[in-house]
Amino acid sequence: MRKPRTKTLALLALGALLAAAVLARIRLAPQADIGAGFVAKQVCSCVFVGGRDETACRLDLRPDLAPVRSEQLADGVHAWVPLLASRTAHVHEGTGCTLD
Amino acid sequence: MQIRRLRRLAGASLAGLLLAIAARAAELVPLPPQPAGVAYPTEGWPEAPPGAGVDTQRLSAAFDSVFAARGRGGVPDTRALVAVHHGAIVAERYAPGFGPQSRLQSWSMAKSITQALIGILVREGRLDVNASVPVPAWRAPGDPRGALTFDQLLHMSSGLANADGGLGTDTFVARLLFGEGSRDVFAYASDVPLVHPPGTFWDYSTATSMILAGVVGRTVGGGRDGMLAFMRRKLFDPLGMRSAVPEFDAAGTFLGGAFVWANARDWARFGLLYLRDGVWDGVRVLPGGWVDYVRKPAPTTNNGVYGAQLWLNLEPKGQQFKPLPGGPASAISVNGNDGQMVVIVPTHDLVVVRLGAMQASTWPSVTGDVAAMVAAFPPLAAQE
Repeated sequence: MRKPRTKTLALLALGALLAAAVLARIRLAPQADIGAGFVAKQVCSCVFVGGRDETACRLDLRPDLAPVRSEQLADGVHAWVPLLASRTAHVHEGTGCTLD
Repeated sequence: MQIRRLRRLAGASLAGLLLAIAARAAELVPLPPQPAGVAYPTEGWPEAPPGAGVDTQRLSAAFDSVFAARGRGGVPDTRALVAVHHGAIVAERYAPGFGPQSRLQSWSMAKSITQALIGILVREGRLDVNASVPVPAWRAPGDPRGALTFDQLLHMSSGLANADGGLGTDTFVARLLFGEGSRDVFAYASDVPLVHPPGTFWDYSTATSMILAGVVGRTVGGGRDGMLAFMRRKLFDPLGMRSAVPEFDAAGTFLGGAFVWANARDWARFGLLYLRDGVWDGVRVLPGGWVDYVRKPAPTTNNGVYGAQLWLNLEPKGQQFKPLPGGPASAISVNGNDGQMVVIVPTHDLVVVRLGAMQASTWPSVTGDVAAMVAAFPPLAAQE
């Protein structure tokens, strides 16, 4: 009798965890998308239009954007929040950076 | 008795008329002409030491104060500061790592670029500020948005539910610039209902400027390349704004609510265009009367300091703030997030440009410092 009950409880707990994760993702993804978009666009423009280096450009961003990671590409900047969102901004001759 | 009454009435009417004229004069100070012998800065900026009447000690102290606030990494918040008096650069300073060639971000100063582009199309007879704004999503019969005019949008009084809503991430402007709306700002900005009767309620809206920029692009044609060519040919090249880089979304709309990069000297050129009534070196860039039009406040009960895509140093209402506290009422301010400012002061024949960040500083500290700078210059009347 005990084993099936433990199994049921474990399944319920797992289900609750999964539901919480899905809810958290639904709730956080739009914010993460904006954060990734902000970092990709701002750092891309700062580097490729403003002529500054990526480190200095990141320093200009608000500290609460620290969880957003970024990587400079040959023609833009990719930024992402693991498991939640990612955006890339590409630079174009004469018109600066554009979010994908 | 009747004659006395008529005299009183005539006297009152005359006083009213004089008050109206005085009020209008206070509102719209004449724009000073370019001084004889001073070249327009199309190629290079004339430079001169501060002239007679300028309080150089006060000016120097104001410059020091502007650069005192240092943010992350010890970099001064203010990256560029330029003062143009009587058509020449009389004071200029940059933060370490920045210089006259450094392109810096406009944020909302781009709105005034969009307004200038609308003005150019008005001068060319291709747009009318009193006409309805041609947005495809508003064309359905009976859609009240189809009656919205350029004038209402220019004055941020469309009544559309697309106001910025603050500076946080969960705001309309954040979704527009960096989130779900960023791939096609024109569609996202315009696909909203009316929440106020048009022309009755002022609300700051970057989305509104994006709609205007989108309509300019569609009027000009040619997509991103066509718009860029138009901007260069009609505005940037005539003024010598060679560092200007306007940015676009993936759908090809100029991000005319927030994103133009240019160096401080080019922003000073833009300010000088407005100080000279839209005329550049004898050539009219903006239509006659355009600068007077844009420096009148939006006629809504909750606005005192917003003109057409720029700020006026008049009396704020509600949540608004004065762009140059203690400064002349004639001042016009092209403002952007993080303390970007091009201040145009007709009574002092002066343009001040402040560009940078706002990490250790605040709007009151930046505007206070810039106002102190302006106070170092004598008003034109005192120089006569």
